[in-house]
Amino acid sequence: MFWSKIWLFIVTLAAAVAITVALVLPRPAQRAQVEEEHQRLVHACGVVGILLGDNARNRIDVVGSFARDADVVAALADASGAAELDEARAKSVRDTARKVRDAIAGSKKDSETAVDVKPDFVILLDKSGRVVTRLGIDEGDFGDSLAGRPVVDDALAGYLRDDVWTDKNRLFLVTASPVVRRDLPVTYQGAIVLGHAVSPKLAESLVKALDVNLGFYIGAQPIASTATAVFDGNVLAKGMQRTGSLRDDCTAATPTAITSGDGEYTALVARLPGEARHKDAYYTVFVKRPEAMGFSGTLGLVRQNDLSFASFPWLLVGIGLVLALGLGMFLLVWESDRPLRRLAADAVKLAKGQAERLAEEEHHGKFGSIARSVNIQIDKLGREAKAAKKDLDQLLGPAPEGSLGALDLLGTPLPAARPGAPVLAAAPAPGPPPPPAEFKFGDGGKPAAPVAPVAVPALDLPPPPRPAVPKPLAPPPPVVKPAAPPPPAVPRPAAPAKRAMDDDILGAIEEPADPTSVGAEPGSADEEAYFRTVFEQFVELKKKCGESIVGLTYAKFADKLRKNQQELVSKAGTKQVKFTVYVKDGKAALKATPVKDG
Amino acid sequence: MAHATFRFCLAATLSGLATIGTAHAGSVVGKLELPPASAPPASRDPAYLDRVENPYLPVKTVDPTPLMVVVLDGGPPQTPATTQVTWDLLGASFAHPLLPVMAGTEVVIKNRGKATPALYVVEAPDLLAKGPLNPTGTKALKTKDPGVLTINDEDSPNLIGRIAVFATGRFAVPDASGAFELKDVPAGSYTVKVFYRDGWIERPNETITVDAKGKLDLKNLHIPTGLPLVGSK
Repeated sequence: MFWSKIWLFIVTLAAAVAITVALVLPRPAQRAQVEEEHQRLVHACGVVGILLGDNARNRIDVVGSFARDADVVAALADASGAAELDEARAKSVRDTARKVRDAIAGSKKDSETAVDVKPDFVILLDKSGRVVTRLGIDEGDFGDSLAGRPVVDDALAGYLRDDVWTDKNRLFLVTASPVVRRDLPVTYQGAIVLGHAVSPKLAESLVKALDVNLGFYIGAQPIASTATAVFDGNVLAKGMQRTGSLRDDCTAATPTAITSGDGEYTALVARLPGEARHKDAYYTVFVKRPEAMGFSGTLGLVRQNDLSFASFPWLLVGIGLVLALGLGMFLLVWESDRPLRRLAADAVKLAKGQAERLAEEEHHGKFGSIARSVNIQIDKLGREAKAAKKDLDQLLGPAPEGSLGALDLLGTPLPAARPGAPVLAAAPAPGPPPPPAEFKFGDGGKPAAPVAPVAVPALDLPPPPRPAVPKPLAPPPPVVKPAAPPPPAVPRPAAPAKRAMDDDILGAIEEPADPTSVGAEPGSADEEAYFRTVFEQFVELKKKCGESIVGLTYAKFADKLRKNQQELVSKAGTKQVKFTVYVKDGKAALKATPVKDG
Repeated sequence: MAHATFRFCLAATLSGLATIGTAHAGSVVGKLELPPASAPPASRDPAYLDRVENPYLPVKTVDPTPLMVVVLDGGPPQTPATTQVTWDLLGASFAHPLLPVMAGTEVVIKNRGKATPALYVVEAPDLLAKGPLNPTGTKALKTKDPGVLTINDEDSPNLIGRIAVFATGRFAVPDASGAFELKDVPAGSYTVKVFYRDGWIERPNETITVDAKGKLDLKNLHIPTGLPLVGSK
């Protein structure tokens, strides 16, 4: 049973571990998924920044081409020398700028950077920073100065650079270039500024290979996005870095969980550089958040392919299952079933009388304990039986064959009908002398000769000597069953209580043939009636056997019965005693049998 | 050259306005000995790419003179000015990044650009009426105590103008070469100081005596490299 318990414990432990793993495993998986999602966003964010840099480089090429155009140089040189700018000049220069713009756009139409070529606005500045003309946006405005804006100041100083502007809820990627007259004397003549609006088309071109969405915002105001999802810009703005280098935003920013009308998203925010930075302009890369995992969520993600033989070690699982099952069955048979059957077989042998005791040495563990307990009880019962038999033998001599535990009250010769008459008794048996039996009728206090136990005679016993009165003697009955004794004063407990034990064992235990006995109070009417019945049967049997009944009085007979009954009760530990009248060696005999309780 | 002339005239005008009624006055001329051209200032608000020099001409050096004022400190006391000065906002910048005025002067900001900035005074936000300044519109502020007033735009942090308020009107803005002239300077003893952007340049200030009717030539006033300001270390 030990290994069976260990096996059960191991199986239970394995099941508990399996359940724990099944419930816990999705959590690190989900964390890994979130981390992977974060890394994907960081990667996409960085790539968008790089692509915006490439985009700026392309646009600087365009503005450089624009600034090198001879017509543009000449127009700005002319304007720089003028004290005042007027509408006519502005229109003239605008026309020039339009031609140059269209020419550049047409020359690069087939380029992959076509989206960057045609600017949404062009601003031409004289060398003091005054606006000579505008093209695309606010075309009627001129004469104001843009000096002071960083990209313009740098362009007027001779630098090419890019910037990001905000204007009327629009974002512009701006580039500027100085306009230099390359003919001698080489001088600065002004600057040119190009602006490309940030549009959904631009956003799509930036993330087309990244499998993320991209949106541009100015504060809470969405500007352009690749998705239809509309976010609360205030929430996104909260996820924006406020300090540190803009180049580190993608790695330093914390992903923001944000909800749109069509689901939940995870977004990473990176500030836009340039002037737009002061307006809290930023871009955000975002992906739809996968559904929360967990045990059921993980099961839901299992694909059919995951359960194929190629992906799952079904063979190992099957072998493990069969081994566990086989081990369990083996342990069950080896430690429980087989010993139980062996014990049952031994018990049946015991019940059938083929064995006196259970072979406890052949049984182990609990079964051995059961066998030992049974043997102990058997031994106890044997000792008690022997003790009872010994007591009866001491009282009445050995019991007849087959009457285990009974007292042959008349195993000793009854007193002679007349004093001095020879005693009709058998010779004393060898062996230990029987205990002094005082059960003698009319012995006048003389000690009775020891009588060896005599077997109960069969019906074909030799006929007893004829009595003095010639009278045909009817064949004596083998045993005259006494009348039913009076019911015991104490109700007998229900017999089926013993049936709780194994039927194989108890089935071999026979109930007493006649449970009637004397258990009434001594001297009670029931006892008197019972003794009288026994007396009458005894007298009748003696007559039938041709024995004399002279001197045999009921008073003596009952007194003797009462004494023997008391002795038997005290020694055998029973409450009831049954008296049986029978023929022994052609003479009437009386046997007292203790009746076990209940 | 036009700007330099404008500056010079502005200084002379302001000085003249401040000294009206001075019977005995001389003039002071001189030239700031500027340090070698400094390296280009760091790029402001850089974007995705570092700025690139054009391949045809060296980049322009920084001219500090528009942000410089030569001031004569001391001399007889002067009554606060009651004049008005117009300061043009040209768009993304003021016509003069540093406007020197005498305490008490009213400065009228006129928007000659196309935008509508929301200007405010950093040091005294209530000094200028709140709200956008429409194109061609004006806003006025009254100077009171000597010091610096910084004008910013709420929508465009790159728009910066400074008003340097001095106790007297004895100051001049040098031209691009560093030359300056103060006219109608009352006779007396003065200390020559140079103001730059938002503080005094740390240098050995000269003490001069101006005669009633004379022209004092200070020749070259040495300006240290890096234009260090008093108290900035």
